[in-house]
Amino acid sequence: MMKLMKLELQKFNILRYWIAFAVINVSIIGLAVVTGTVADTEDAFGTAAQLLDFGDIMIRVTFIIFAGVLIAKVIIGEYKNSTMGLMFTYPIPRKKIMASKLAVVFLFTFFATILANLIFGFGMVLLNQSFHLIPDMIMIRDIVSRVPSMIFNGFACAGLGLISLFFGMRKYSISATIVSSIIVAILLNSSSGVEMNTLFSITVIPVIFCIGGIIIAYLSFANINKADIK
Amino acid sequence: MSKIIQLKEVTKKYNDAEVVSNVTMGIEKGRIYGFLGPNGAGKTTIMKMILNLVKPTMGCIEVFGDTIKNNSYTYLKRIGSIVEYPVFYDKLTAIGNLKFHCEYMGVYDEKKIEEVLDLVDLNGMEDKIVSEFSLGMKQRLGIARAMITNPELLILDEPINGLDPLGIKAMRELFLKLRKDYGTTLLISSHIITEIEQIADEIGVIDKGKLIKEVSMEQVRHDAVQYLDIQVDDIKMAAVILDTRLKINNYKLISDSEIRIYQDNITQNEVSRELILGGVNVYGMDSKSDTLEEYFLNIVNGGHK
Repeated sequence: MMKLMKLELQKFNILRYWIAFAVINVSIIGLAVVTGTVADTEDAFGTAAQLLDFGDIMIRVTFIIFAGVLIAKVIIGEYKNSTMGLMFTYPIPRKKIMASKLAVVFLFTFFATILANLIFGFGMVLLNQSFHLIPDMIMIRDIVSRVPSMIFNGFACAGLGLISLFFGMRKYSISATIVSSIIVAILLNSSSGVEMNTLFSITVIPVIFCIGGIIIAYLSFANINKADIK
Repeated sequence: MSKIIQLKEVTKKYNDAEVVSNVTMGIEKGRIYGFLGPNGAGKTTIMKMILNLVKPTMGCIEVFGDTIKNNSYTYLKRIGSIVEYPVFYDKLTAIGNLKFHCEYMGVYDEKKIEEVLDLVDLNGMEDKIVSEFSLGMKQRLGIARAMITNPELLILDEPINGLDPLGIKAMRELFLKLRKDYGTTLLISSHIITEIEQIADEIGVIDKGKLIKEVSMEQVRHDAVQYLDIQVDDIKMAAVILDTRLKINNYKLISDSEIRIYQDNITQNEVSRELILGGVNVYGMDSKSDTLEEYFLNIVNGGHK
């Protein structure tokens, strides 16, 4: 399994996506700075928690969609280019091939979400000193105290990111994969009211999302051994 | 001889369309099986079913003596294949594609990569991106990839598509060498009769999903029908003589003055003597045998002349 995952990483040069990861981080930090400084009549962010929640939501939305893009690349793209047929002529169980691909996407999303949250947090600690995004200081301990929820959310995003496979597999459509990931990301992260209470705010929900995402992803290829490959 | 591949009454339907109908065929170890048929006859579907990429609607397939089930996969290690057209990771180099193939097949031998590229005359192209390859080059690389793991069975779908005459000749020699030196069994499909007849030991002719004929090349050469064309002045009389005196009934009137006899156990002398004795003037006589191409076209057309 580890070997298959390693081959997937090499084949699609997944590490190249860290460049995209860096761009995303800079953009989200930039957006936070602009939002915090331009809204001059009243502070856009009243507290450190609000500012960090803002970043968290942005990161979650982005990386759930990002997971969709990766799935489109490593799974749906292989169907589109007929290389999946080639993969299935190898002496490897089909489900194991699919699982290794999903594991790569899952782990990438998981670590990217956590890392992006940490980068955003520490970025805000530094930038708040010069841009005064919130009236108070942001402390390192504010960031550290959020680490457990970052991990929970990482799992949730990674699991949710896999849901798009279900829609993409229906017609092996890259656009359906990405659009469904956008819908999932927006539906589950839209906040109700000013307090940024999203479905993610309740701890048990992300865990359910994660497991649900994995189950839905599995359902999309549960019958793969019986399927004809075009 | 043991059968490497055995299809038993295999049928494949897509919705209501039957693309393969009740096909029973067997391929013996160490033989080159030529799979002949027009485009869309069902050759590729059968190959895909052997590779478990497509599941038969009815019937069963045995490869290396084991029946293929939905979740069979270990036997694939012993097979090299190109199905439909050679597919690659286009953004990777030729050597990159071969390396991944070896990794997934669970065989890795750096020297072998050089060796197969050499065999298909692609040396010097190792580091070229596959998307820059021509169809012929992709075909060669596909053949190199299929044989890199020294498989016992090679399944090649239209392997000479897009190759130039020199390339075709080289591949023909390569296939014969694989069979001779390694005892590899080959299943090669083509719609080009002349190509198949030069290398195959066995031939399966398929049309509209049905296996019309399965025959050894030896038999084909023997069967390739011989006939005798005779030009005469009185065709009716000639026909009577053929019927009554020579007891030949397998003949056809081609024109007002020409008869074609499909019987190879009769000599020209006999025929002309009897005709002349019967008062028929013989203007000319010509003995011909069908080319293999005609032979196969006849099979595909249901044997109608």
